[in-house]
This record gives sequence, structure tokens and C-alpha cells, in this order.
Amino acid sequence: METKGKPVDILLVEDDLDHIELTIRALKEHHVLNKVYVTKDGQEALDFIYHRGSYVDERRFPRPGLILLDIRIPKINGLEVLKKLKANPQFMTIPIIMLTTSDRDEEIAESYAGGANSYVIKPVDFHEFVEKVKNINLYWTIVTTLPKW
Amino acid sequence: MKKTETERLNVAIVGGGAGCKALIELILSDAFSELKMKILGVASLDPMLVGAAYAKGLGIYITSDYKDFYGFEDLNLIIELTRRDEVLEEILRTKPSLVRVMDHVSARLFLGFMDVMEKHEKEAKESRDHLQNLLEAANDLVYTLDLKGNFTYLNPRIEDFGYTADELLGKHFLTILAEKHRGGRFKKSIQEKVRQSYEVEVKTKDGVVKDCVISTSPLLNHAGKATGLLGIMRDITEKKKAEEELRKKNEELENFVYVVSHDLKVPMISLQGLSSVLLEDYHEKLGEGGRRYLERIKANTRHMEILILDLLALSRIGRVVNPFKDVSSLEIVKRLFRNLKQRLEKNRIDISVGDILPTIHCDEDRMYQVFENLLLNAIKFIGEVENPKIEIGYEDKDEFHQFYVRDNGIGIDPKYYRKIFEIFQRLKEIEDEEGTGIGLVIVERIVKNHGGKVWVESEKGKGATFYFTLAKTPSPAS
Repeated sequence: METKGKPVDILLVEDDLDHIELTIRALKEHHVLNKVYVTKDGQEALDFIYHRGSYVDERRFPRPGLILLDIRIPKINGLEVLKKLKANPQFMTIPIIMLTTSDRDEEIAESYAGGANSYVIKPVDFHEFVEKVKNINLYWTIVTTLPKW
Repeated sequence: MKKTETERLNVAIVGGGAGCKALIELILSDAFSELKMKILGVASLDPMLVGAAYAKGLGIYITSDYKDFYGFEDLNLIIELTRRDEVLEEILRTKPSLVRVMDHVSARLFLGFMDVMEKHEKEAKESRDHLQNLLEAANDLVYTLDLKGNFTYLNPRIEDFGYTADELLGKHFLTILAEKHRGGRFKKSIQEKVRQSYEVEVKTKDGVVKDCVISTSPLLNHAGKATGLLGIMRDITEKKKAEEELRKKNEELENFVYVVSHDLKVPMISLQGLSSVLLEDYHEKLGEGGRRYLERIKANTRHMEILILDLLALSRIGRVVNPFKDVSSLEIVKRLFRNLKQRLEKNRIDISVGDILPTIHCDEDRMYQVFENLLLNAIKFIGEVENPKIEIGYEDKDEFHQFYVRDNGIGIDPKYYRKIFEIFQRLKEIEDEEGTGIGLVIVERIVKNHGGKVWVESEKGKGATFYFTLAKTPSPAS
């Protein structure tokens, strides 16, 4: 079934408050009324997906259609979160996009090897940043058909 | 007829003066040990003369009449030192037929020869001693080997390795080298008669391994045939340790630069983003003054960004080493032109490739960076020329590829030729907010890693040509 145009819930895993604000602002530019949930470290991200800890209520914290995942986050880093989710049959189908400052070849390789659907490097120039985020949104919510769950 | 025994020369001296003494000393010295000269006696009218007295003190037969000697059966030679002609004539007249006579003139000449010989001997010995002293005093280990490779000489520095010269003389040089050595270089020195310099691992007496450098030369006789090997060895363990530490420190430093510049990206993103958002959302409220300040803030953060990106690029050169491959330099340049198309068109720059560009063996990404940095520089320094032109060219220099990037822009004053390759040194000729002065540093680093050099030829007002070379068969340098 086509999910085109249907608002997709996005989980943003990011610990820097300014980056969170800028990313959400850029996501909203697209006017697709996604709801954006934010978790600020790897542990919280997993809790959110597994409905544990502070995220037990499934209705308040629905399964996201898309995850934007930073690598440098506290407690459990982004690559570990990626691997855990992709190893789990229940959650492996959620597209995960690494959204990070790191341009290290090792981390790029490790991300794709771990099953990341995409790897986006955060540019320093704000306009480029906004463009990239808009494009991510556009591609993954409009162009791509997401799986039903 | 009595045969004169050539092994033995029996001598009688007539005349007991100073000459007599000198002659006795000479005959009794080592100089004639092979000849086996014997003094049968000294004849002197005055027994108190220095020679006669000397002879008497040594137990040599003394007489006042030389005719006494005629009775000696084994007399071979009479040496006449009286300097009186009538005595000489008398002796010649009366002597036994087979006895020879040396007169005082010949004797004096003979003594003179001996003096000269002694002097030469002394000088030769001094020279040998001097050389010996030099070898003993040398700061490095000096040794010689015979054709089999056994030690024939070692100077005292061998003790620095815990051995004595005595215990190693006659032993093979491989005894003091680490197991991995097989003596191939030694064979080469002897067979090809070449001098070599190379590193070896030496085992001290206690089994500690030391890194040493040795300098060897074959020893040749005057027929040009090898008779052995001369070697000079120096312990470079400390030096190697220092080099290794330096290398590690550099690596640490580069990693540090990388980590710091990379981590700086995070707040940079926030700074740029928040100032942009501020400008957008509070455009009216800021007013013109506020907007201007904000623009300056954004410009500064952009400058910081470039600094950081440049530092990251620089640190990456050391950190990330890509394998060398055969790459078409023409394709690299074409790709570069495509990527910079807008910038070139905006500045209406006529860009051309002067010669056929070859296939080169290199790190493709890095080579792209080299061309890119040089081209960006050329674009920057074009200035306000009427027909801006940039040309990329090539020349085959046998062992090297030589490329150039030439522009007809404002040129560079020769006194800054070296400076522009220093980090962050910019020539503020062009109103340029973007440059940080690291581009050429990156170019130089990469070119060096490819076994080449980069330099510039220019004249103020007449454009500049940046040349760089690449070794044709480079290996990624450390």
C-alpha cells in the first residue's frame, strides 16, 4: 500500500540541543506533518523502540517510520544502536539514516556493514544542512515507499 | 780454496775512533741480524780511543797491530777507519788474499746509508704508529676481515659490544651478527669489489641486539685482487629509537589535529545554524545594524569552518594512506574541470590542457587534491586580467612526471616563493575571505609523498607557473 503523503513519525537520536532544534526546523520546512520524537542517548533510543523504561506507553511513543541516528551519542553510541536494531527481526525493517558529523571512512563502512540504509554527513554550512535534511525527508517519506507494520 | 760463507760475515776493524764505535753499534744492532756479522777484533794504536774502549768494554779482542788479524782463519773483511792512506796501502799490500777490505771512505758512505735507512725506518714506524693510533682512537668500530670473513683486526671499540679483540680474531663476522644475517653483502663486496653502506643487527656479548650501520670497502692488492674487507661500524640504536619516537609523535600530533578539528565541527554547525535562524526569524526586529553584525558573525564562522576543513584535510594526508594505482591524469583534470565549471565560467577563465597528460601511478584522491588546490589558487590569483587564462601542462622528465599549472594573473614576487608553502602564510594580494593559506601546504605534502617536489616560477604582473613532479615509480613514502 502506498504510504505517499501519509505523515511519517520520525525518531531523531541526537544529543546536541542546538542540532536537535536545527534539524527539526529543517524537517518542518517540508511541511509534511511528521511528528518528530527525540531521544538524546543510545540507551533512550533503544528504550523508545523496545517500549521500555520511560517509553512503555505504545500509544504515546509509536513505532517510528524512520530513524535519524547520530553516531556520537552518550551511553550507547550510534553504531551499537544500529547493530542492535538491525539484528532484531522485529525492528530491522525500520529505515535508519545515520546523520552525523563524522566523515571517517571506517565509520561509514561500519555503518553500511551494520545495515544502515543511508549515511548523511552534516555539513557546516546551514543552508546546505537544511537542503540535506529536506532531501532526506522528501526521499524517505515521499519518494520511497515504507513498509507497513 | 776456502769458500766464503755467505751467511756469516766476520769483520775486523782497524782504527778505534768514533767511526769504529758507530760501526760496532750498527753491526751489533738488529739491522744486521740476518747477515750474522761478527766483529773479530779492533785494532787501535791508542786503546783509550772511544771506539777501542767501547769494544774492550764489550769483550771484543783489542790489539795495537792489525797484522794480528791475518792469523784469523775465518776473517772475511777488514774495515779501515784510520783515514791514513799509508795504512790502507799497507793493508792492501799485506793482507791475506781472500780477505776483502773496506776503506774509510766507503765505510763512511756505508754508515751514511745506514743512517738514512734508520731514519726512514723510524719515519715509517712513526707513520705506522700514527695510523695505528688513529684506528685505535676512532670513535667507531674499525675492523678488517680476510677473504673467508674472519676477523683479522679489530680496534678497541669492539669492547663497547662486550667483546675483546683477542676473542674475536680469527672468528667469522657472522658470530657477532643477529641470526637473520647470512653474509650476502660480504660476498658481494668481495666478488664485485664494491663499497657498501647498510644497516645490520649486532649481538653484544650479553645477547642484546643493537642496530648498527656499517660502511665497508674491499681491500685490494696492487694487482687489483681482493684480499679482504675493511669495515667501520657505528651503533645507531639510540638514533633509531629517536626516529621511531619522532614518527610516533608526529602520528599522535596528526591524530590530535584530526580529533580536535573534527570535534570543532559540532559547535560550528550550531553557530552557523543558529545565526542563520536568528537572521531569518528576527529579520525585522534586528534592524539594519543588527543584521550587519549578524552577517559578520556568519562570515567569521564560515572562516572558522574553512580553517577546520583545511586542518582536517591536512591531517588526513598523513592518516589516511590510499594504495597507489595507475590513473589517467587526464581523467583527473577533466573531473576537476567539471566540478569547477561554474567557478571557471563565472570568472570567464579560458582553461586549457597544453599537452597529452599521461597515466600516472599515484593515490588518485590525493592527486585530485593537488590539481584542485593549484587550480583554485590560479583562479584566485587571476585578478582583473583582460583575458584570464589557465593552462595545465606536462613534460616527461625520464624518471619523473612534471606537471604545471600556469595562469596569467597578478603573479608572485620571488621573495615570497618559499613563504607561500608555509602553513597559514597568505599573500593578501587578493581580497579573499576564503583562503586560509593551507592549500599549498597540502599540495607540497602530497607531492612529497609521491617522491616529487613543487615549486613556483613567477614574475609580478606576469602570472605564475606552479610546477610539480612525481616519481614515475613511487612507493608510498613514510
